[in-house]
Amino acid sequence: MNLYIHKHNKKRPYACRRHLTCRPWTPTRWLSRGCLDEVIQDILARLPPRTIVRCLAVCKAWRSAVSAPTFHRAHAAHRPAAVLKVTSKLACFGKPWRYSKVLLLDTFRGRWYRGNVHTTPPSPRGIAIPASSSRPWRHHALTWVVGSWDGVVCVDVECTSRFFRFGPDLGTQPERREREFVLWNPLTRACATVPAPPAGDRGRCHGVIIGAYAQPATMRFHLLHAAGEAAAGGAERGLFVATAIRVRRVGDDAWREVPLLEKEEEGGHDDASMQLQRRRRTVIFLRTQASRSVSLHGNLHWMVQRGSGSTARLNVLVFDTARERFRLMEAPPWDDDSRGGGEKKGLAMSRVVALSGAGKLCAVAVSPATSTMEMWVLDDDSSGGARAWRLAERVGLVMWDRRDLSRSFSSATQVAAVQGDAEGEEVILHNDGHIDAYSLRRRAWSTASVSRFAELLAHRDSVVRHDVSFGEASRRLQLIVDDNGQRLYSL
Amino acid sequence: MAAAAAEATTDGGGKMIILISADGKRFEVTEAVASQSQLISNMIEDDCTENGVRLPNVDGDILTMVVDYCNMHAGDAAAAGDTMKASSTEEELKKFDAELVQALENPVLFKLILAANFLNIKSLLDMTCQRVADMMSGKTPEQMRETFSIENDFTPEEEAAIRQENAWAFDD
Repeated sequence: MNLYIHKHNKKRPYACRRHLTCRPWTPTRWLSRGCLDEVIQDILARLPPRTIVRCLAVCKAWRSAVSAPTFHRAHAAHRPAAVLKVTSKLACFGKPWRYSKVLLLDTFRGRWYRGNVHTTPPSPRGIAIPASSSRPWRHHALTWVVGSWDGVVCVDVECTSRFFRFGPDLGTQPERREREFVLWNPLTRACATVPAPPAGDRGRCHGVIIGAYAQPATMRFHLLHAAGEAAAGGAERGLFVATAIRVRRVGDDAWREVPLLEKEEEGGHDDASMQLQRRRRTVIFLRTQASRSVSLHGNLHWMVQRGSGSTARLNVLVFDTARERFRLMEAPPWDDDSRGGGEKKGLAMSRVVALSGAGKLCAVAVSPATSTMEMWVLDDDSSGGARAWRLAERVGLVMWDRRDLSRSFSSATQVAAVQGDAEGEEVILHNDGHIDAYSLRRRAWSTASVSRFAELLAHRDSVVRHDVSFGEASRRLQLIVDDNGQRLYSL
Repeated sequence: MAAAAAEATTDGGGKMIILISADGKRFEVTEAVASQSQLISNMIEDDCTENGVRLPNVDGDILTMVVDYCNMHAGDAAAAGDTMKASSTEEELKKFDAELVQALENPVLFKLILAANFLNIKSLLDMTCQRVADMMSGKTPEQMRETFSIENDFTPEEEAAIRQENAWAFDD
């Protein structure tokens, strides 16, 4: 009879092999005896982050369970991303005192807040980025939060030698600039700084961080940087043509260039067709936060435009983090659909988001002509068949107060999917302090607001140790308390 | 075993399946109930349940609980069409589930987890794992060792090193 189970579950090793060969276990001790690693991992992944790390000190079996990369993936699957509010301020402290730019992260206590707003005090976590520490010429630090990936918040810091001065000569001031990326895990207080890749001969265009990830096998943190130039024929603002994509394993001392797309597509012989080919190969990104990558199943995704003018078409660019390779995927066939008004979807009006609840990629496109938003879901079947886009919903964008979201939608609008306790999965459009959230379950909109100077970040806590994430580049933060009694960590 | 007339048919037309626990107890359940277990549902698909399904590492008393659970939850899918009914049964189910796991002693709970994992019943595994996680959350390593009778196999130096490495989780 045992044979039956063996024979008929070959294709599901999870359900059979291990359990039939399971060693006899003492009931009270099995948790530490490593009888079933996956069960232990499943249990530990449900714990709050702090308790998980305490489990490291319980026994060796638990330590190895919690340190495994598979555990971190299970943990990420169990914890839906929380929405963080990021605010910044200038502060001065220390002796001799010095200016610092302080970034404060706190859970957004409006919508999607898990827990009771009245009983839990705010617990912002802050990092101070000193403007003049070792280098005396650093007077002023401009910071902006690039994004949060796998539990690490990435901040772009640009230090200049002069105070910011408004005027016609703003762009031509012969100042010294230094640019670096500060990576910070607000939970474990791990921190690393990474210098930006050297600017090209074009000088002004430094490129942007388009994504980051913890490598699935090693959990080491990597940054993806795109250098580029403004898209020609700037009818659409905020687009840039990527000329070089570089990746850097944090802790390494150089950026490596990754070929954006395989060369094999080059087929033409004469000059004209070569040029056409080249133009088709150009990949255009959105410049703003909308160029943040969307992670799902170990891949990063962006909505990009290939070519320009009449040959322009949208694609989903996919980066395989395990193999460090790019590939292109078809965008939803929304142009073919005559019901959508027949207009061409521009890059500025479309985004990809990851529906983490369903584990699916979703493409949204806003069409101002009909005031609607189309949501296409990528249905994947694990059997290896073709993946196909399916039009899940066409949502009206005219709110109850007659605001038309399609009018205010621009290349700067942030689109994200978040998961709340009560509402389930929601797609949010964040525009200048206005947040409109569409609940996929209720099929209705609701609004929230946040200061227009605050940023929202979907952030998922990670308990990966600092030296695993950042290796040699990991640095210690110094605890300081500012005038308001706020505990901060300073670089 | 072959002699056992495992394939009986009920009035409803659903096939009956016999589950045999490690200590030889036999449970007769309908196919709908049994197929909540991914393992058994695969076996049904492959058509190899005629002689009863022998579960060599699930004890009789644990299997009783599992069968109870599956019986309660089998109506789940069937009643989904009727929303009024579904919402009332949903609450009942929640209550039943809560009572089931609350009352369990640790060793029984762990056995139930193993059984749920072996039979691959996702909802039961979720629920039981969550119960253990709730028992653990917020505890110090010492308290956890005590709760689950785990012996500390670290040397004091090793443990101190771990605590120092991850000071953020241990301070306050």
